[in-house]
Amino acid sequence: MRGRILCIFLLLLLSLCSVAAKLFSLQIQQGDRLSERATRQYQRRLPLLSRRGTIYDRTGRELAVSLKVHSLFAQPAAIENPARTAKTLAPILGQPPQEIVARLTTDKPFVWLQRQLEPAQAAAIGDLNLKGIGLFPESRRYYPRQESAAHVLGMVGLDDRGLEGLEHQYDDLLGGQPQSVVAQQDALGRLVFRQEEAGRPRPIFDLTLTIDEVLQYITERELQRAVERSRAKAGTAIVMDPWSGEILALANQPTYDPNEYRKAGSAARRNRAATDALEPGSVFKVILLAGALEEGVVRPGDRFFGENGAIEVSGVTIRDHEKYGWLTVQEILTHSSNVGAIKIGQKLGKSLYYHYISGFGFGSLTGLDLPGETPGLMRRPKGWSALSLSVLSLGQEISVTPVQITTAFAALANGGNLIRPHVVRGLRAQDGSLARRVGPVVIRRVISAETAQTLLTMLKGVVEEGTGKEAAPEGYSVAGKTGTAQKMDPATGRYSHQKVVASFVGAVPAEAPRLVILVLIDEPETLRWGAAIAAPTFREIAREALKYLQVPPAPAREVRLVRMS
Amino acid sequence: MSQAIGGVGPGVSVASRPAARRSRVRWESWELLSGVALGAVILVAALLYVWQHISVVRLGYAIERLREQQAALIQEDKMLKLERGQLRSLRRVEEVARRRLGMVTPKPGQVVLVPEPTVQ
Repeated sequence: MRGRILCIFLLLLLSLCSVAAKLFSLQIQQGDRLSERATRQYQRRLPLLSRRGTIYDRTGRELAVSLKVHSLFAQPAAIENPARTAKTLAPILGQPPQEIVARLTTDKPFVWLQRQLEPAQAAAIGDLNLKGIGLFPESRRYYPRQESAAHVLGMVGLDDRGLEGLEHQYDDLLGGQPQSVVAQQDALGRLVFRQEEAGRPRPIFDLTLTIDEVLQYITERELQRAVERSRAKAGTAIVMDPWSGEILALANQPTYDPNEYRKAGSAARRNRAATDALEPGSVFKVILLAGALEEGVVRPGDRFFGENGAIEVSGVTIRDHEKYGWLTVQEILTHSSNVGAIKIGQKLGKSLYYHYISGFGFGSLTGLDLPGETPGLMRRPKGWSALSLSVLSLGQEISVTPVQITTAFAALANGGNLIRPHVVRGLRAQDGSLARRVGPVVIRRVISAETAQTLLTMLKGVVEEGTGKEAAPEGYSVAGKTGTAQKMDPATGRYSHQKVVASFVGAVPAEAPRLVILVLIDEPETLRWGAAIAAPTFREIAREALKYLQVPPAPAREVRLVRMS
Repeated sequence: MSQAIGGVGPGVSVASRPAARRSRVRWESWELLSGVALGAVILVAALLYVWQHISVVRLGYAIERLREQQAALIQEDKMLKLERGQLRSLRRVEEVARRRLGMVTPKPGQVVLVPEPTVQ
C-alpha cells in the first residue's frame, strides 16, 4: 500500500516537474518571442494619412485640397501568372502590358505599379482581387481651379511635400507628420479596438491667401490674351492693394496646371514675377523723379532743353524718339523723354539717386512670402561708370523684378510708404480659429506724402496726354507710366532692337488709388511698345477689377433715385 | 431535563427522532439552497462579465464599422467639394456663359454703379 502511494506521488512529482519545465521554456526561454508573436496576431499598426492643410483664396474659395487616393503596388513573388495579371491591369492603368510584365517579373519583393490612382481606377482594381497586387492609401493634392494662381500655390510631390510656391514656403505648417495607431484585430483580421497614441501630433494649418480668385482669373485671362496677341515669349501681371501690400492677383505666362506639373517644363513653372530680374526701362524714370522732387532738385514746372532729341554722354549718343525742344518736368515724364531724364539724373547726382533707388527697395528682397525671390542686380555708386548715372536715369544698367516695381509704385500710391508685399493673409487652425493674421508691414517711408501726391498728379498726365493714353478705362483716371526696355543680346553684348520688354505700371483710380497694376510683356513680336500692348492690357484688367470691386467711376455720376408716389 | 431531551424513555425517544431528522433535513436543504443560490449568483456574475465583454467587443466592431463609414463619407464629401470646385472654375463658367447661354460682357456704360450717398 505504502509503495503504491509512493509510486503515485513520484508520478505526480514527475508530471509537475515536466509542467514546470515546459512553463520555464515557454515563459522564460521563448517568452519574448511568443509574446511578440501573440501581439502580432491580435494587434495591427494602422498608418493614418496625415491631412495637409487646405489653401483658400481671400473669400474662402478652395484653391488646393488634399484627398485620400490609392497607389498600386505588386509583390512579384506572390504572382502566379504575371502575363495574365498584366493583361488584366493594362486597360485600367492605360499602360502597355509589356511594361507591367517587366515590373512584375523583377527580383524585388515590392514594386510600385502606379502611384496615386484615380478613384475609378482604384475601385476597378480593388474589385479584381488579384493575388500579389495591392492598394496602399496615400494623400494626393488637387487644385480644383487648375492653372489659376499656379505660380503662387506651387505644387506637392508624390511624397506629400511641397516642391514650389506656397506649398514649399509653408510646408511645415501645411503638412502633418505621418501618424499611426495600434489596433486590435480578431482572427479574421477585422478591427475591434484602436488605442489612441500618446503625445500630440504636430498641428497643421489652413492658409487663407490675399489672392482673390475673380481678380486672379481676370488678370490671367487678359495677360494670356496680350501674350497671344503680341506673340510674346512670356508675360507677368500683378494686382496689388497699395495700402496693405496684399497681392490680389499674380499671373505669369507661360503657365501650367499644378495637377499635372510633371508635364510642364521649368519655363512654365517659374514664377517670373519674383524670380526674373529685367531692366525696367522708362518705368524707372518715376523713381528718378520721386527722388528729384523729394530732394527739391526739380519742380514739376521746371524746364529742360530737349537737345532736339539727342544727347552725347561719355561718347555715347542717347536719343529720344522725337526731337524735343524745351520741356517741363511734367512733359519729360508725359513724353518719356530720355534726354530730359538724363538731365534730371545729372542734377540729382549719383549718391542721392542711389539712395532713392535702394530706398524704394531695389537691389534687396521685398520680403514676399514666396520662395525663390531674387533681389535683382544693382551696383553701388563706386562701381558706376561715367555713363551709369545717365543710363540708370532711363532704367538701364539695373535689373529689377516685377514684384519690386509693383511694390515701389505702391509706395507712390499710398503716400510714400514702402510696404512688404505678401500673398498670405492668415493661418487657420483645424478648429477654424485664426492662428495668425498677416497685416500690413511698413518697411520705411521713402518720400513724403506731398511728393507722392505731386508725382501721382504728374503720372495722371502721362495717361491723359502722353504715352499711356490706352491705359485708362472709361470713367476712371489712371496714374501710370509706360516702359519699353531693350534687352541685352547675350550674343553681341549690345542692346537688341528686336528683343524688348514692354510694360505699364499704374495706380487706379488716380485720386484715391485702390489698385496698383503692373503688366509686363517679355519679347513681344508684334505691338512692341509698352503703350501698344501693356497699357491696353492694364486698361482691361483695371476695368473688370474695378467693376468687380464696385468702385464707382470718378467723378461719380450723380444718380438720384426718387420714389414716385 | 437532559433526560427528556436525550430521550432515555421509550416514549420520548420515539417522539424526538423524526423531529431531529426533520430539523437536519431542513438544515441540509437550506444549505443546498444556499449553495445553489451562491452558484447562481456566481454564474450570473460570470455571465454578466462575459456578456459585458461580448458587448464591448460587439461595440468595438460597431465603432470600427461607423469609423469606416465616417471616413468614406468624409472622402465622398471631399470629392464632391472638389468636383464642385472644378465646375465652378471661372474659366469654365465663362465658357458656358458665352457658348451655351450666349451671354456677353457688358459694354462700358451698361453697368452703372450707384453711389450710395446719393440714393434717396
